[in-house]
Amino acid sequence: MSRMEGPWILYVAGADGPEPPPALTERTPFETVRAESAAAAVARVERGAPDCVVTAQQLPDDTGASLAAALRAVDPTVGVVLYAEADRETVGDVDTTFEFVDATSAGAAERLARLVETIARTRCHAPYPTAPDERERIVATETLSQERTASLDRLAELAGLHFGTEYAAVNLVGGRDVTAVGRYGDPPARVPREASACTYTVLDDDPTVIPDLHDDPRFERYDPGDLGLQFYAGARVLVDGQPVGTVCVYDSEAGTEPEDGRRFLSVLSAAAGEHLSAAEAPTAGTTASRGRSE
Amino acid sequence: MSQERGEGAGRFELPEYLPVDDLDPGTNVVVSGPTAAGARRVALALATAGAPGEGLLLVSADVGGEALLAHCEEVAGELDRERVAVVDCSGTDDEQRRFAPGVGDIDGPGDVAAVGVEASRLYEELLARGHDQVRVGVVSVSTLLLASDLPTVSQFLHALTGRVVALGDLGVFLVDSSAGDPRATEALERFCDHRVTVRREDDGRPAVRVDDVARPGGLGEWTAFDPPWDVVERD
Repeated sequence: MSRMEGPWILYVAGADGPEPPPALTERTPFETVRAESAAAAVARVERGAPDCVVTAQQLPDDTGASLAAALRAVDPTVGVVLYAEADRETVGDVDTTFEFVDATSAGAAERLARLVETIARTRCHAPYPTAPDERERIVATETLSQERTASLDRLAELAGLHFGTEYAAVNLVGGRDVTAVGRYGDPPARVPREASACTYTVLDDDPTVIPDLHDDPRFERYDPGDLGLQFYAGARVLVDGQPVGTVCVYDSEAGTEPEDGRRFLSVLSAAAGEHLSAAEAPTAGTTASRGRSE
Repeated sequence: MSQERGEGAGRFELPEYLPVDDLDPGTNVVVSGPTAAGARRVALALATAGAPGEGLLLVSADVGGEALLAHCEEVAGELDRERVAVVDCSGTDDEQRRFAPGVGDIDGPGDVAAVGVEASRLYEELLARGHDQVRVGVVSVSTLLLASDLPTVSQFLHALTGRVVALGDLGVFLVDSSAGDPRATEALERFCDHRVTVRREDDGRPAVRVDDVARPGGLGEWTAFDPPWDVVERD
């Protein structure tokens, strides 16, 4: 996983296609990376997701609508805006949700810029709820060390022993994945956000308890049961006021929480936050320049 | 985040009989409650109360688009069709009950991705007709959820509510609380700012309670009101 750098958008249009509108390049904080084909766009997103993708409809090797589906196969959370003169027939069948702005209409460039800003800030094309400023939250999370540490292993062990569960973890909830930086019982080191209950826990002030994940509609598509998990409880971890992760326990059998389970998780999550704050890398907040064409 | 259109525009006015304050541009509201209690009519009242300059974009999943507009007019009086666009994803085969016969070719409420793109396209049409603020109504989210899985509906609603925020519009999303899994409903409510819960009082009148979705503990007060539609006294 690459660390978040400055905000950037991927603009996809053929070599002889339109330039990105000035409202996008001059009035927003985004660096623009251009891809001149659908294949180049997919390859670029595979190396690291942009804050948003803006695509023309007619590309040398595909259509913008089809590209949206291809990009979602790489990253289900990536925001995509089709900026083109396109009617229903031109767009054709669509397999995924994306935004459409009629590039020929009055005020289209301004509208595009505002949509891109919101998509970048809130990650509102993700198939799950996000924080009001999700981008800032992700930056705060991904500037922390993603390495597993013995201290966080011990916090996870305390959680697991208290709940009597097979697994426990201190997780960081990043832009795409949930990464375990403290583990007890050898749970998965990383899972996609849409398959993790921590995606919801990180948004809540109060601890979350899910007695049976298999029975929860939020996870019906990804079925965390594939990971052998059923019971889940977790509390979010704050670093400098930002919700960056969770302390959680889980088990392959449905279960119930101990009487003081939520309070115990809250205490451990506070301890995890203090540990992560103390260990925060001094180089956090890197802002490398990204303006270029590909 | 700039909000030029939202900041320059006025608040969205609501009917005087509804005990709900006018709403800021860029607000998303979920209306939750049983249809029998009046939740559907409250949602339609919020969506259709717009001034003549406002556009109205409806996603019609429960019934054909023409039937939905008839329901709207029962609540709000005659609508100027010029300011209305409907994504008819009801799946009805009756062309007369579609809003735009022969145009809507969305198979049904399960084709959520197509609904999303069509909503964006019709939104652009409303702007082209000169409506610089739009109320968006989805009637109902529960029907979309019956026809598709939660992640798919979540992605659609997340994107649509994001458009409302970005462009300073008003989003109204109806959830029939008597249908479906409450955990799914709760997950979808997270995309909205306010929850308007509707119930029926013993005298048959509807009552609403307005909450901030981000503060689940801060429940508002129930307020009954006298709607312009007929109410049926409870036995």
